[in-house]
Amino acid sequence: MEYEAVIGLEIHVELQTDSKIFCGCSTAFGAEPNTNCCPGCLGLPGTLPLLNRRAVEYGVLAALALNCQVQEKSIFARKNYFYPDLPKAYQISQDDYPLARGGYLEIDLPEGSRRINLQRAHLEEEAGKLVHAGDSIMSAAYSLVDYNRAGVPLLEIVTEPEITSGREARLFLEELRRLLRYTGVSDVKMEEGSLRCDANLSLRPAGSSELGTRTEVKNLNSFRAVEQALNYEAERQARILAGGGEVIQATCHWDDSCKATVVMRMKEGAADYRYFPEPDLPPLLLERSYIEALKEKLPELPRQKRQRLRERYGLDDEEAAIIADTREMADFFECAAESYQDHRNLANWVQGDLIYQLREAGKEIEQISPALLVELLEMLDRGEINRPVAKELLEEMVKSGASPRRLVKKRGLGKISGTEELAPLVEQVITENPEAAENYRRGKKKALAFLVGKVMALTRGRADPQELNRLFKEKL
Amino acid sequence: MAADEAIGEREMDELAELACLYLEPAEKKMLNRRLNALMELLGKIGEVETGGVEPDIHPGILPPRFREDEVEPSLSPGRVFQNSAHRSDSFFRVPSIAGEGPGGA
Repeated sequence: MEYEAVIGLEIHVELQTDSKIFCGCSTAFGAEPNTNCCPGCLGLPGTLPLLNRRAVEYGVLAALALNCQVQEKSIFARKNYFYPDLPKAYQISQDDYPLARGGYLEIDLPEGSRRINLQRAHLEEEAGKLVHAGDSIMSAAYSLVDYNRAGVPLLEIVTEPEITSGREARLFLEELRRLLRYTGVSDVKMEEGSLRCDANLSLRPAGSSELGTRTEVKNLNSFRAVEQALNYEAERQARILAGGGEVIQATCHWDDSCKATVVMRMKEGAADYRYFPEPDLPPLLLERSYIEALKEKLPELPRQKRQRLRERYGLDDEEAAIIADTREMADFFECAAESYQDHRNLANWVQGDLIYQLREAGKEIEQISPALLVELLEMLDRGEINRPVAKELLEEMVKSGASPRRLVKKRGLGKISGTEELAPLVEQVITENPEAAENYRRGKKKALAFLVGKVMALTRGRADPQELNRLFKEKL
Repeated sequence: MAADEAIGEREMDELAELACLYLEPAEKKMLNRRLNALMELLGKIGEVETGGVEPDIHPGILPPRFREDEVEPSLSPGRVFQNSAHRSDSFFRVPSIAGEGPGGA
């Protein structure tokens, strides 16, 4: 039987506030363990939460960017469970009355765009971080806990179960990360855990509308892991069903080194969390005008930006996607495009050599002035330098921030042209390579390229090859 | 145990497990009795006609209170670990969690 996968994602996004959601402890990543803790973070009796205004603002901004209906009234609730990363034995979260409902995100697939609908987005606090002593989580002798992370604000985003493959899940997450980065509410770094994803996956006979028994997959620490783990889990379940077996509701852990999911525990139902309204926090009431004002603050989002780049600058899909990957890259491009008219050429340099050089130099696009790239391209267009020199200058420009024009002057990298300068070099090369010169005279056209190459090598690529061709032909 | 009681033996066991409590049979019986008395009271409240009334989630009618996003000093390490019996360097040390509890934010 043919099966199709039904996947829903739960995404946790750490909001980029300076202080935690319910207290004033710092949210700085990488601090010495257990140094950003107060009695509230440690769950000591008698402490009370007080909501961080910016956490709400960021949550609302993200929800609006995701086309959610932000609720004028939402309620914090206690989610009760015993686990060492949760010192109060409950997490302040939201249950029946989340911050936002509905919403969607569109992703681009080879066969066209697809809308993935969202169930909800709600605010909650982070749990602490567990470090497992030993080789793996399953064999650890004991665990170590760092409560620095406890209380960092989180936005949990839940999709409808309508993703159909690991690939789609990955594309969804990549677009989500791009969108959230545009809004500035999170640094969305999967490697630092500020963007995390759990997935629910079940199989059903192709074309059926019933939902099968699902498993939850955790420990998805990269986009690649999401894709691989979900594809693996879909195959695992398909093998069980094909063998006449039954999928058991469970939580699985993705083991990235073995490229396999490992069943960790039988899943308990949602009712086990015994949610109830948080008595220490009043309902979160938001005025419609406040929500509307935040909507006005939203920047142009990736999808709109890509479309505008295509329409306004004539870029193709791929160019627009690369340049609109970050707001900063798009800003750079648009700033340069104001004074440089060959937009396709500009896009070509930005998406190719410039991005490569930035990566090599470990620099960010914001550290480079668009005017310098324009200066470089104009010198190239006017024939003042040739392409290899332009690439060399770009590398130096990215490293030091120096003006390409000044670099050319300083290093004497300008193009060498004119008979006066080139003729002696042509003479020299003919004298040093009599065989090649003779071959050309006898009609071997290839010998010319060899001779021109010799002069290019002598001038480190600065000579004008067309002029060299002419000079050699005259001489020989 | 009467058949109409809200919390039977199975529910009692489940509650004890969720609360991580080990109960002696006598304790279980006593708590069961008390919980059912509570449930009876709640049942009476449930008889009140509340159709169309929006539930009051919170007793106080408070205006929303916020704190500004400003970092305040945290506790010193000495104070953080003051009541902890199990410490490894700057971490709290706990039994291995593999295979237990629901976990996760």
